[in-house]
Amino acid sequence: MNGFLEGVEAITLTCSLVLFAPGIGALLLGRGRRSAHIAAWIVAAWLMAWIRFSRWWTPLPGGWLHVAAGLSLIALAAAAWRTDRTQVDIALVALASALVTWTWVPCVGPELGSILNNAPNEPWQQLLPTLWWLLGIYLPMVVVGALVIAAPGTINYFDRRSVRIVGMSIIAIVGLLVAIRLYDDLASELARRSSY
Amino acid sequence: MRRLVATCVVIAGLAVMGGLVVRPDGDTTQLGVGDAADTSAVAPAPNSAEPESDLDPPRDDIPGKEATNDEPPLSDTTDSDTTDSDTTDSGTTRDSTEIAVELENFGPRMSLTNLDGWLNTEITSLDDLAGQVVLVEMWTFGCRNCKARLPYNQRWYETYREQGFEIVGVHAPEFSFEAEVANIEQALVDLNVTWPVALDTDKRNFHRWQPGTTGYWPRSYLIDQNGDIRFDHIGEGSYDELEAAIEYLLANPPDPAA
Repeated sequence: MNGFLEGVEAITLTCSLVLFAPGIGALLLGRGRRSAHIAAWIVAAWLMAWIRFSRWWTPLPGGWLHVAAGLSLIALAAAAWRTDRTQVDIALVALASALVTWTWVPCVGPELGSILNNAPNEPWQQLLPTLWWLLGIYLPMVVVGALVIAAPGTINYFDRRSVRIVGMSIIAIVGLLVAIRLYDDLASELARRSSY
Repeated sequence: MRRLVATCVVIAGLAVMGGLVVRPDGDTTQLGVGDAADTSAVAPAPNSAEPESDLDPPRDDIPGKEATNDEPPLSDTTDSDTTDSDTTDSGTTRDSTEIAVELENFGPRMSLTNLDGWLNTEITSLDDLAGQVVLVEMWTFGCRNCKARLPYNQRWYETYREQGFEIVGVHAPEFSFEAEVANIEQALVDLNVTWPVALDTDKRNFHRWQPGTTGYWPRSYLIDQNGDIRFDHIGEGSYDELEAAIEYLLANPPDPAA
């Protein structure tokens, strides 16, 4: 199984929730054609993951950093909701993506393990495998992006206020749970229910 | 439609690039942990220094290196008296010294502190295992990737235990239900984990040995008879390499005075 397929499989892992759920939220929250939002989300996640894997920057949020990360997610969601400028919207999406990727603690399969074991020694060679793996986990976003491009009529559906509220709510709830340290408890319950 | 095609082309291009990158030098084998390009032995020390990778060259020479990740664990094919060579999953002969002579001593001497107890054992410290080769594995019972390693651990435990090999599972829960001792005990039974398990409920040791954002499940450290870390691996895989390192250390214990 290569990295892409392992990434697809990782969608089902509870460890991936912190990475996956806010991405879907950002997708719903965006405006117009979502391709730029999706690209911004994936590229930001890619670069942050790669920087982490290469151990160029390794602080994990904890204590006040955890609170700051959660509140920042809420602020980014609110700002994205209010802004009318697509560029600002996309920048906020990228920031949110980098933030959630920073908080992500992965469960490691063979392919991601290969990246993690090699990245500290040969970071540049792990750049594209990291993207390849992330494209797997974000495949649903890519599919939705392709759908919107192929059928522009769907934009009207995605741009409905109710859909955008759902998107903002997902990000805001994740941010709130991260800030008050209850995110792990929610994920724990989901994991427990899926395990037993 | 043009945009859709363009998007597909970009995605396909990225896919191809990803595929090319994971097949360096024309090697058609998918790289995974345990394959030639894997440099598992990264620096493990708390707040550690830069990782090193002196294990690379000998690993490239390992016959049968392709047969690692997705194959089932060996079943009684290893002679427990064998130390210098063995038969791998693929049936090829592996000379453990090809790897192990290059085993680096990463140090420092590993320790586990502020534990919440032990299961499956009477020991209370890694110091109690001095003089043995010890596989210390950070794991949690709800982690699918951690569970994938267990059959390999079980086989090594059965094969090498009489020669001075021990496994210590450091159970570092990801979620709260994994922190409840009753759930852990039940999981040990369900998963057939018979080796000692240290309870690292608040993950102090998990984070001490994997500082910052370098914490992953599972993480495997092989400790030599002096307590020094000689092999370090993140995630699944590298089963052949780890087994060869176990065999080497059992056959070539370090100088106790070192």
